[in-house]
Amino acid sequence: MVALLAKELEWIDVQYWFSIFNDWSLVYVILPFFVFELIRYTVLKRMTMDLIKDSIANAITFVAFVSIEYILGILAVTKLYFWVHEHVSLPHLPLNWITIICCILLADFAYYWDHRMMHRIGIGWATHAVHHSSPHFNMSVAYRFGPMDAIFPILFSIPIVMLGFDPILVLLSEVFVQVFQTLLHTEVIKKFPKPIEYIFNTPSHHRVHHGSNRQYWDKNYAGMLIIWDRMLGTFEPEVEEVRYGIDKPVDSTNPITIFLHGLQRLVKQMKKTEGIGNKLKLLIKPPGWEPK
Amino acid sequence: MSNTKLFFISIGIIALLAGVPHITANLSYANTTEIVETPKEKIISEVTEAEPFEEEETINESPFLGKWRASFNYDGTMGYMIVRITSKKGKMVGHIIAYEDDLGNSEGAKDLVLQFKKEKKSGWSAIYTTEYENETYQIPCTVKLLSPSQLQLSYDYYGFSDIETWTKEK
Ligand SMILES: [Zn+2]
Repeated sequence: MVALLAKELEWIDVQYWFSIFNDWSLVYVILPFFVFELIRYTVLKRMTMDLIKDSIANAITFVAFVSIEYILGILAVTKLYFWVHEHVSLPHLPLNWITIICCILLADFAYYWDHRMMHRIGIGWATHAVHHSSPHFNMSVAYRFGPMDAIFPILFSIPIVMLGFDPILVLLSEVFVQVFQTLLHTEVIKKFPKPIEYIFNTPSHHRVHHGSNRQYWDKNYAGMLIIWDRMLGTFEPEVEEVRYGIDKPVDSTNPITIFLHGLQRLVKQMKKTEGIGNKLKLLIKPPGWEPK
Repeated sequence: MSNTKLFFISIGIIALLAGVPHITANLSYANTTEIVETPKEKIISEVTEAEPFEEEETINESPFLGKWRASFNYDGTMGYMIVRITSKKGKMVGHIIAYEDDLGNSEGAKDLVLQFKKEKKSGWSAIYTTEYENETYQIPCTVKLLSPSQLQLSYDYYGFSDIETWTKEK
């Protein structure tokens, strides 16, 4: 068994396996599932103009997010990863199943901390609040991104490269976690059997994360494994029915308003706050912080 | 939960997830270096498995085999590289055997540049070894024949993308 897991693999095969989940799942799960959700809304008489406009706005924020990622230069970022890999890394790991599994788990753990940080510092919340601002919960919400959502994960994946993992494997693992996370944005699946709900992040756990009910704030940050939340004290089960969104709703389906509302609110808060030190503190203090 | 506790739990998780692949990598490395003598029967069976006669034959006829000329642009210097594709143990590989500049000056070399992996409908999938700003990259690519004297190599790899056409040398 260990010998099998430690057997050296071919890059071309590994990239192929990742593409089946990372790229093609959009065609064989996500889109069909979204269509099913739309039918369900219609049957339940919950299909509204607001929901349609909200879904379109989600898709537009995604396009904006991807464009920013390109402008930032995927190449510049990958080059940084390669530089770190060559110059400040532990011995490079061989490409085998053990390396792949551990890399995905590390990417998942990095996702947890990245996500927790985005909720707990002002500048992080300014961009991540966009994702939470929808009053709905379906597959399209997974694509609702803020303007700086591509930047923060870099801080957390570089250390994984430093541990000796190949930069491309790290990138593929991050996308893997992100795609898994995408699949959780649904009301269709209620709860999985107990052992699954205990170990994995599920739609139920992630609904809690999107809840504006007070007890659900800043809970269930997980990507794939909910055990990180259980271990680090941020787990909350779904009991009360979830009201989706943020405490001060955006009340808009205009994609530009949605995309920039977090930053706009942060800038407004900074203008209002006295003293340069306090203004800067707003960037790193938890959202809602005010000087004494 | 206190910050110190969060810190130590996190360090523990990271140490475990990074430690396991490093330890197994070291163990399997130690295993392969310890076994110096491979039983003779095993070598024979491996050799016959790797080079079945018929397969060698078909590869010998492969139109990819031979010398190819590819142009390159290195820091603004235009030139050519001559690549020889051969088959070793049933696997096709390409080595750069010489570089030539526009003026006809040439320089010998012996660098591995192309490893053929699998034949697909669209051509062969292969690994292209190339250098960019002093870093070596191993890029998955597709190689196909456009004609008996023209070979096309294409790749799209995290921002590097190109289609190269190589021509056969007599
Ligand atoms: Zn969140």
